[in-house]
Amino acid sequence: MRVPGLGHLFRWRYARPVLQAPLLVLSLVMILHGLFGPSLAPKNLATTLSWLHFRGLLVLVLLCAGNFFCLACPFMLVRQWARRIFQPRFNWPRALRNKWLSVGLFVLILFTYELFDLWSSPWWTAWLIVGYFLSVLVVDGFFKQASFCKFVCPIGQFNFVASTLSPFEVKVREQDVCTRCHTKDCIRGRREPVSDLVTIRGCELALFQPRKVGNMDCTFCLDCVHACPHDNIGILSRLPASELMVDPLRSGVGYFSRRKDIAALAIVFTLGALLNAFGMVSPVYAVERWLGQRLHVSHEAPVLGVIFAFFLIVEPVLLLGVAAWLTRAWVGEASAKGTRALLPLAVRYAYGLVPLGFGMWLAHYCFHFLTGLYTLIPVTQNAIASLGRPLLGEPRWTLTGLPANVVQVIEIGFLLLGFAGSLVVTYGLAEDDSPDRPLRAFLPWAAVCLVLWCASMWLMFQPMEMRATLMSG
Amino acid sequence: MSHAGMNPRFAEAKETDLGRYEAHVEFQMAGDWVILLHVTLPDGKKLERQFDVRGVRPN
Repeated sequence: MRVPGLGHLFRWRYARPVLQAPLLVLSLVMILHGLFGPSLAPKNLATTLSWLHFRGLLVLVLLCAGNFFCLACPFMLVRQWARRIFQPRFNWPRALRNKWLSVGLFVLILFTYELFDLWSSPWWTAWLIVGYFLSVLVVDGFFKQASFCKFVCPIGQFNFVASTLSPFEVKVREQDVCTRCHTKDCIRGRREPVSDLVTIRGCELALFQPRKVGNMDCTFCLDCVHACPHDNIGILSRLPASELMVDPLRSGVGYFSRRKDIAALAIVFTLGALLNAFGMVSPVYAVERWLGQRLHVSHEAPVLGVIFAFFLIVEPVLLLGVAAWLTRAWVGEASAKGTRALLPLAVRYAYGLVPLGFGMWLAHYCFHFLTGLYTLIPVTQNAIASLGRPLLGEPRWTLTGLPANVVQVIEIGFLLLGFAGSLVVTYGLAEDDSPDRPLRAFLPWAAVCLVLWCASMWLMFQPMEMRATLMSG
Repeated sequence: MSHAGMNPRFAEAKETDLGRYEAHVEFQMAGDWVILLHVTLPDGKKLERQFDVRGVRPN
């Protein structure tokens, strides 16, 4: 925020709408082209922009900066306009004030992506975007604050988890300034002195800045920055992943070690990365065929269901369960924090998997992004030409992206980075859990990281095979 | 391929017999492919045809 130009931009009250507007226009273009443009995915802006460029840029921005895609979220711009017409009346239900719903939706998105081959369907991709807009309007039309962002949005939950590894965080500059502050505008909003009317809203995700720790649940909306009367909140640099190794009380979140739902989100984030990549390599079709024969089904849905259940339920229960049991056996049942029960141990160490998961998402999404980097040019040329005149020239379909062998080196780098990050975070957790014998606490979880990393590397070297076909026979 | 961003393969068809044209295309990846035919007729008219080649497998 102190950087000339950028600082002014982010401190400007209307920075967010200015960033959201182009993405809203882009979303509308994607919807229209998805519904009315070429049905072939490589020639359509909906599929090209969503599954190549958006996903690739998203993970790279999360790696290099922070949750800036949530800052520029076009869905929130539409929601903000809608709230000028009708105000939400209800508080988000207490029973749903956790991540379970969003974990379910995250899994549902991954499942429907595989089942309906969204990557090959501009039409379905367009309807996914439309569905997202409608969901935001419905949820935030009825419920106050940023209920959709905090408790529903699957993309947001992905961003929250990944941004625990980002090098930047929205946080206070000097705690003393907050201690002396009596108005707490960052969360209550800036208010008119007499009428108490909110003129600049505060954090809608219940993150009280002086007690906020890390990026979980932070959409980088900068409401707190604009509301703070002391200019004491900024986008500050930090050590990536450091927030995963500590367990303080986090405003608006609580203790990570007590949040089974957030741990489940971290597990789905990590294992979902492997699952999503597995869906694109040759062995998956052999597995589907085998399962189909065993289950005597020919439709893909039940077979995919079994694969998902294995990856997202059986596998983590086995891996984390055995690791937790070994930790307790080797380190003892008593720890500095009390008795080591299996589930709390698994919850605590689940966060150590996040860097590995992020490494896999980076490897996968950057593969598609970098190998198809320039395809946006001919697709856009073709889209403009279809309107009547080829204003950008004839489509140059020979433009693709970086060579696959170059990208593969980058992918290996991301996987190694993720593995190293997970080892570092896991060791930090082990030191905190068992200061006397950190290595004994660390080893079972390091083994889990090694198993998952080996699986990631194996996946990466499998031949790719993308089929938009249903199972048959 | 049917996934956006995958490397396309190009080939020019040559007339091998009266009204018969052949082109050789190498599929460098298993999976579903889409063949797009771009034809320019003697009068300059352009035709486009699309057909799917599904389930390409390695040798």
